[in-house]
Amino acid sequence: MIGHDLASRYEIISRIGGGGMALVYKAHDVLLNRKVAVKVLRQQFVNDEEFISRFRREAQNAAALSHPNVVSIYDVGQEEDIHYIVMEYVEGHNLNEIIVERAPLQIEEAVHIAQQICDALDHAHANHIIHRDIKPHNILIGNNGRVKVTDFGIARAATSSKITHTGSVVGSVHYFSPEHAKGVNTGEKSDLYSLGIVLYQMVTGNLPFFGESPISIALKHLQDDFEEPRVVNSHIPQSVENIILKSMRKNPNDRYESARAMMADLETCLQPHRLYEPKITFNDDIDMQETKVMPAIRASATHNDMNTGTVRTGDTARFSDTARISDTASVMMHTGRIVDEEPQKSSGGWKKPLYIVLITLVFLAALLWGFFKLLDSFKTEDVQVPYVVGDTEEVAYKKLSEAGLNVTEPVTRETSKLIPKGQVIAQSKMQVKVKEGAYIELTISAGPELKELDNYISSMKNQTINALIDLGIQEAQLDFTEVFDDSPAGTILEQTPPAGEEINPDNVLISFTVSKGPELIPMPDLTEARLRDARVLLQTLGFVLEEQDISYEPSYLIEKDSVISQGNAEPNEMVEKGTKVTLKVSSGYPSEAKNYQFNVRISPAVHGSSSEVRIVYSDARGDNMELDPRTITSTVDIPLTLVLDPETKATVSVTRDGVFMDIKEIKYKDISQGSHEMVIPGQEPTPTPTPADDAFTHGGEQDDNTEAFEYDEQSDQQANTTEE
Amino acid sequence: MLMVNRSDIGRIRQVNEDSSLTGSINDQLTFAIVADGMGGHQAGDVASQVAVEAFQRILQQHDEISNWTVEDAKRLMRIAIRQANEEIYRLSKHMTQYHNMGTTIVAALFIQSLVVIGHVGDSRAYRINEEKLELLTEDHSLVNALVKSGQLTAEEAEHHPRKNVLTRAIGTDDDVEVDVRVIEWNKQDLLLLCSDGLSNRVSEEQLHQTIVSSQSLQQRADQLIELALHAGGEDNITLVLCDMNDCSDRREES
Repeated sequence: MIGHDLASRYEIISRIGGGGMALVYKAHDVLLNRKVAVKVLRQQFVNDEEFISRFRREAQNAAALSHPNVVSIYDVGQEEDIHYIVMEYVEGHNLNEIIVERAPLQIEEAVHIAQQICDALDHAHANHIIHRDIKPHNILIGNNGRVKVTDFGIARAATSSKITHTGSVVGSVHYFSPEHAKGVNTGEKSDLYSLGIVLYQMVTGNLPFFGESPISIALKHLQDDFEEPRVVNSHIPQSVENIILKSMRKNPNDRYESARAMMADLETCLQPHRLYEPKITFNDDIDMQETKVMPAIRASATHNDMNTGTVRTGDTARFSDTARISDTASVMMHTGRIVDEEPQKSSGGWKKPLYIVLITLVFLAALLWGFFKLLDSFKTEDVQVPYVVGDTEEVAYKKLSEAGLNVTEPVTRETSKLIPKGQVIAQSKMQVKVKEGAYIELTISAGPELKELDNYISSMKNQTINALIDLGIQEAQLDFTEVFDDSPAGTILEQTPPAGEEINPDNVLISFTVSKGPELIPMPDLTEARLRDARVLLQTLGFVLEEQDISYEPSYLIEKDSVISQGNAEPNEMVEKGTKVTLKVSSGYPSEAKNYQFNVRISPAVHGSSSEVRIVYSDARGDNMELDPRTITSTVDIPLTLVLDPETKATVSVTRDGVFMDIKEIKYKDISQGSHEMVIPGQEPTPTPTPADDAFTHGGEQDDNTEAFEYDEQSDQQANTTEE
Repeated sequence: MLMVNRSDIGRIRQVNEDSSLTGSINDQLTFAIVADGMGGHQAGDVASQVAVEAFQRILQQHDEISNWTVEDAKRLMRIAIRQANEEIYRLSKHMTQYHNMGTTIVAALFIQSLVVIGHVGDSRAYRINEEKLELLTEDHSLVNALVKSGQLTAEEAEHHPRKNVLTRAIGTDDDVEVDVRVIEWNKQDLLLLCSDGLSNRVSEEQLHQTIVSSQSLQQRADQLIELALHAGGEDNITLVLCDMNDCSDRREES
């Protein structure tokens, strides 16, 4: 990322921080020629569209804020899969660094900082933006002393996917309001609670609640009392303690009405007449014990609850409704038994009329039969042929034989799509009288024409559909489920019913499992990963890494046993599972490379004050690498390991308080000529001898670091002497 | 014993970050595992896969043991889950694209009439019979901690906006505490392992009714997925349903 030219406008200079969600870089805005801070969303979120849109929305909301105590947002953008926010760059420190370095702060300073935070919150709240993550890390103090609050509303973006309360969240949980810890409606007063904690920490140097896990801390916010500030630090005026006690009330109703109200209190709290004001009391001090009740939260929670309660009853109702419907349905199925006997038809629209006709006919036939039976008792020689069409074979035989008639054997059997198997389709004589014992020919349905299902496994989907349509099967009767498989896309993998089964083309349902080809998955970026991690990952993802495909070569840039580059598939390329990967792995520095110990001895610009030191170096591993900037208050030695090779020379350049001090060049052949060091002295506040003399004369007064070094130097000299 | 393993991406997500596996080692030790990954695209899915594979690999490495005791199984459960933790943690530390990834795990090892359940996170195990449905695991989540401390009622917890916050997960720290318990098994009991895509969406009554219904085990599992999809399907849904009473051959479905 460093060196990257974002949107052809922001040149990324160095990384200055990072949290769980984003990394922060210092950058140069080429267009407006100013320093900016660029917050870049971490890679794992870039495909989570929901998250991205929340992130952008919150950033855009926060961009609407314009206030001297709020870090301004200049730009929100995206370049390929880099999502970023460009913000005001604040030269200075964050409040956390200051607290770590020198808490408890002076009361005046702490109150002044809290006032400015309040001012920022007041402005944000007026714009309906709740910060939600007020903590010292988000409060920047510029070198001019101005307080700037950053990251408004961003905390809200990261709430939908599953997260753990470890790592980066630990910092925040100390400042969570009870309602935030509980997870219900955080509002303006939640920010005031968090500010109360920050103020507590500034004036006492302690956190009010701590515990071994984020959860135990969250629970303490909800139910525990904290040590009152004046117990920890008796120098705190009562008026300031009162502000902390009021803003840190567990019940939001007991806190300040608004950031403005808290700010007003902060403004006057250090006036002499207020310093010894009485300690604040709260009407419902029983509430201290009964904090669990938290009326306001409860009320809304109960409200929530009622809502959800309704939803749930609704759900149950719906569920039991469906149950009832399906019950009724099955009852219907049972009453209409005739339906059961007929296989399902593809066109069911006229089924019902047919049944009604059939049933009516059967009924009429029965009536007629009864009628003729009655007639029979008068006439004997001729009998009326009963109507048996629609009867089952068995019933038809019975009716005919009861009428004294015979059935011509064998009966004709015909396939029929409409008449269920075993039912009489036609009879040779009907509605006439015949001699007793006459023969009647019957045509009986053999049911629909069944066909044997072929095997379609390994055929292609399109050919299969065509073949089945030729059999008279509609496409709607076919169901295809697509799965990843190594066979070409469109290949049939399974079929139900299986081959050889007799099917009725009119109503059969055939389901197939079809290959959609091998699964394509993105190749991970293995560069700089350690070989053992790369192995685990490739195996897990289903890629193949064979031993002969791992080659080793020396590298200046990549540490030993880490991946230099990967072959056969680029990072993020979509490839098939089972793809073979080749890896080029570092075998460490080339044999001719030499480690070389360089030392920078540097003093502050003025002895006794502090200076910021930056060291930039180039060597065989690369150009313009930078050590972490550090602030020094006395003479220190900063060791630096350089890697040298015969082709490149190394350089070390040192900047103190933004002023270039010195640059040194080291060549490969210099290695044999002993160690090198760079000495950058500072100014003495009072006139003194040369720095070298100074080191000796004032050695005892200097810090341990330098003392130790001097001792070494002296012993070196002694060693030299003995050698001589 | 019959086990059915089902996973569905749901209606909203673009990636299925859940992984699950059932199987047995040497036809001796049967196991089932469900993992629900987190950490975004190409990280959550990797985390849950690494967890499942590491778990299986550790079991396979112990395949020479022939007479499993409950103590062995408990120990193995811890080793396997902690190994998964170590592997995921290492990947997330050393490769920026996997920064902060993690996963939940709920796993079962079956030993005669006992089941060893191990879990971390908010994936759950239930024991179900005609009479009742019983939750065997305690979610490692903020909401559950609040319920246990009396800050929330069970009803409030059910629709809490911060249900997604876990207090323990695999792969987010260099070591992890694993909850392991042993359950006595009756022949009529069924075991359900599932990700919160099911347990958050489908009420316990519905789970119970569906699981004790008379359909085949596969149909019951499919119906559970359907219920969760019907209830919104906001999350990936994964479940393993085990019927120890089913005397058909040991087999796995997927």
